[in-house]
Amino acid sequence: MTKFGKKMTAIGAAIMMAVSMMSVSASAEDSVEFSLYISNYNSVTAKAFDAGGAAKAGYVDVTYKVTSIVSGCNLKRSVLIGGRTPSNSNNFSNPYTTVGTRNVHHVHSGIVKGDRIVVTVRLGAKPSGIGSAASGKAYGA
Amino acid sequence: MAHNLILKKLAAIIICTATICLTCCKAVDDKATDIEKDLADYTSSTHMLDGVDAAYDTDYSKFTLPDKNALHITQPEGVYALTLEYANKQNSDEWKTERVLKLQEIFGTDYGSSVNTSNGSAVLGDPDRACVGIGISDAYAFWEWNGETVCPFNRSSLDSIETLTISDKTKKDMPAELLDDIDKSIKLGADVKAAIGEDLDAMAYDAYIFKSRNGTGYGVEMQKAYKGIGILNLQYANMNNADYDGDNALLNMAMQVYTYFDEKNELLYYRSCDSFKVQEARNIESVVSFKGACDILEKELGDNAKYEFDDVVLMYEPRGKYIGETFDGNATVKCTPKWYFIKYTIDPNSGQQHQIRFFSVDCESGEIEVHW
Repeated sequence: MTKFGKKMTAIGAAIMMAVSMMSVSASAEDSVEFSLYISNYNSVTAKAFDAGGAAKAGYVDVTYKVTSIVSGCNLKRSVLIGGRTPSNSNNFSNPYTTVGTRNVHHVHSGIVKGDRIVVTVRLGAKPSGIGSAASGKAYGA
Repeated sequence: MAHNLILKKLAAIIICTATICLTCCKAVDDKATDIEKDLADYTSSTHMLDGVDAAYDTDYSKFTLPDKNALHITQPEGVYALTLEYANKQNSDEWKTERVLKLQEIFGTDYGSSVNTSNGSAVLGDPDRACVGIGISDAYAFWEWNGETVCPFNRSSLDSIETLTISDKTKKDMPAELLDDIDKSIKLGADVKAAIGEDLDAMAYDAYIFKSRNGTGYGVEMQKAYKGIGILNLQYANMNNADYDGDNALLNMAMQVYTYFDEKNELLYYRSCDSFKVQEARNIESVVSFKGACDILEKELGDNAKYEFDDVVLMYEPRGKYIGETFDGNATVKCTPKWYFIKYTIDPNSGQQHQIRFFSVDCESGEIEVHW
């Protein structure tokens, strides 16, 4: 590689590094775990949490990862971004009934860079109630 | 002798009848709120804190009050059943443009005077890099992060976040920079209020200390407030009976105002929720006092109850509908004053914001709500 080529490569790498540092990003590291259940002694059937911050104005991508779910149960979700209800916020309809990872694109003209992404998950119990459970994690940017 | 006996019987009958009548009247009053009101629990808003010392002298068996210096209570100017409307009901671009130019002066930026209103917001600068803007009536400003300063909204860049309530007790141990940032945030809140022309104030509630390889930064979480009473902006730890959906949703997440400062104590991020005008403020003349709320809890909690509270706060519970993809300018926010007996929890993965478990006592009806 020529001296000029090496310089350009170094500059390119520096720019890439700066860009990656400047972006407000969320990763699996930032993910928030949740565990919902109904037992004989206690129950946690819903949880709200801050799942990251908006990386850009106008939209957010949130990953919902269901890692376990008892047969007959479902997991409903809803999301608020900067105190707004964006597109595909779901509002607890179309629940997840199986494990898996879902990526959801949320749009709202009012989303400001850095806005808090607040996810609420709710357990849909099986008819017997006790023994119902679901867990997973969510993160967004 | 017989005459005296008749007179005594008559007196007894009259007393019994009067007692029955008075009891019936009380029963009718009680029915209105479905709760047995003890008038001793009620007072005027001016005197609602008079019994704080008496409450601390009372040996409550079912709960322990927090350290008195940890309380988030100031004497309110009044207690109201509030109805709020959006400050920019028409969602007018002219309204936003006029105010974003004022915000630019407050935040000391220089992005010129050409306001971009193409995406529903009024923005000066680059909304993906650094700008000053207004959404519908929500003001914000942020600066570019160059990777060499503390960046609180990039969570993965941080080594630790410490969350503190702001009280007389905690202020004693806070770094001078953070105390300065609290003052700056309150002033910014007041300046933004004046620029927007809304009816609510901003009061400091929680503080954050952010640490990263680049140094230490700070954050201040504020509450919108009306005449000395904050509007609930904290997350519930137990969402089992709470709802963010529908026309009567809990709007705590739509009431957040916060600031972040970098390690040089420079403002990095200011984010406010929507701005509001008071559409109606019905004065509540007879309100549950601090001591009254404690006494109601003692009466109503189960015999074996034993709770420890971190804080007792008088706040408005905001309810209404979250703004979705379309904005309804006629939407309102109903705010009900309540005493909150709080246990703070922190979800370490959730931005370290305080979440709350609590018992609340409605200041007007005396009704208790549990989110423990």
